[in-house]
Amino acid sequence: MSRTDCKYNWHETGKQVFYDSSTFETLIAQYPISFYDDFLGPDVVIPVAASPESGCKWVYQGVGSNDTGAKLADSVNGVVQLYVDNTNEAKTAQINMNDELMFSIAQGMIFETRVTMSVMPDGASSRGTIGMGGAFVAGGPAHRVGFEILENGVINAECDDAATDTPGSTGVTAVAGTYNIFRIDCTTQTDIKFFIDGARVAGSTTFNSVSATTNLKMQPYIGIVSANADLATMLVDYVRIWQNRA
Amino acid sequence: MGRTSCEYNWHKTGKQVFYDNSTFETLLAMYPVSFEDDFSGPDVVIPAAGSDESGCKWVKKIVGAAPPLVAKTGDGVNGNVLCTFTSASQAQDAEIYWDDQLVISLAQGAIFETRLALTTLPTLLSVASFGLWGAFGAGGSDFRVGFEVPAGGIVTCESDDDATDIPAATTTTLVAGTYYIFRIDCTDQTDIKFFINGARVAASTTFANAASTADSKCQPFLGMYKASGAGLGIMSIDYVRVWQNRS
Repeated sequence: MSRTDCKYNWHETGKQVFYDSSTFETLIAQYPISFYDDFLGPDVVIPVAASPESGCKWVYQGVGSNDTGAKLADSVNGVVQLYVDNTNEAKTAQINMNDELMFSIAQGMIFETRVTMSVMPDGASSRGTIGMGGAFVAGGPAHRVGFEILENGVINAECDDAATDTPGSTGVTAVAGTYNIFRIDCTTQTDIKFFIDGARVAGSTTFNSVSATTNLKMQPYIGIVSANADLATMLVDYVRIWQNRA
Repeated sequence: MGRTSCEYNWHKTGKQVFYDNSTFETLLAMYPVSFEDDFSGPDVVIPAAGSDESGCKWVKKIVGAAPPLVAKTGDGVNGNVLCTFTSASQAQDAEIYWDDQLVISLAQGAIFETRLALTTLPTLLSVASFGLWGAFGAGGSDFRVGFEVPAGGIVTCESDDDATDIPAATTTTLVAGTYYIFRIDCTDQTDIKFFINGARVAASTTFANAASTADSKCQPFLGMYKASGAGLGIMSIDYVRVWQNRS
């Protein structure tokens, strides 16, 4: 049975944080700004991009003929399923905040999500993309910090401030159907840290984001992009974001 | 004035929990999956069952002419939902739930807590029901753990895994218009525990729920039901909280 642990200066953030000592899921983080969605409740339909609805925290950005994105009915914990098929075309299946950029890496933003590729990207053009970024661009926002899950489950970390793109190998390989907890800690913007299941990854790379002031603002993005006939399915269990006030 | 207390192994759940030591309202429970609705905000209308709306966490079931009412109370301090019967002699439902999206699970140690009052106690065949249910069924889901309050106001606890229905009366008789905090703790599915205002009730009964993993899936459910007759009853729901471990 997992138990609750607490650190008074969690990862040198200066914040008291409660977490699960087994899974390293962050349970409560004492940040002024806190966002949490476990995708519970009856509302399985996510509004489409450019048509946000009052009370809804996400939109679905689909590009392609047969992509889908919705909560999975009767899925314990509450889960969003994102899917692209093997049609040979450019495809995206992503949830984001409709380009409302209300988070900022200049405010010590921390992003955490629990995700699995229930069907791994089956070709080089398909990948899972998870993180925080600017306005939506197919293939990835111009400025972003995030993880990418590639063909065969290889996971990379990346920081792109629209001038310098810094990638780093995590050394972790995702297993289809097995959830991992991904966390991105922007407490120090010049040294952004990436974690998988509580362990720091790509620790030998310095992820230094020198984004211009206008490029600091971000939204969460979670989904799949694919350019060719490569399919994939992603399940998203929860999303948590914290930051200091501006 | 209530003060905040904390237990590091709250009721042997292994979870650190903060609570009000006067009312025993659970304030913060360190569970991975957490749901809370205090019914605050401007959206007083709850969508109808079968017509769930994106961004809305509840639907309402209305059965009966007249009709029974389910809505948030305008200007209700704290935020609350009223489920109100009419005196029409007929079957009636006035309930809120998750439109049969069963994303909570008894097998994951689900804990359900609500604060509610029966501002009008049930009369005749009216029954107040609240807890964790499987898919909706008039008069009770096949799979459920919950409290029931029939006419007279005596609270009963119940676990039904569709094979064995275990009911047990508590010694608590509700007073009209008085709020109570009800909690159901499924940490041990073979020994589900019920609490009212922080005190365990029906403790001499072992509520063993043997539902399969698939049948352990459930949703919060609260409201009023009567199969027939002119019975009345009004439920005022202040908040609902649900926690569980991840699967």
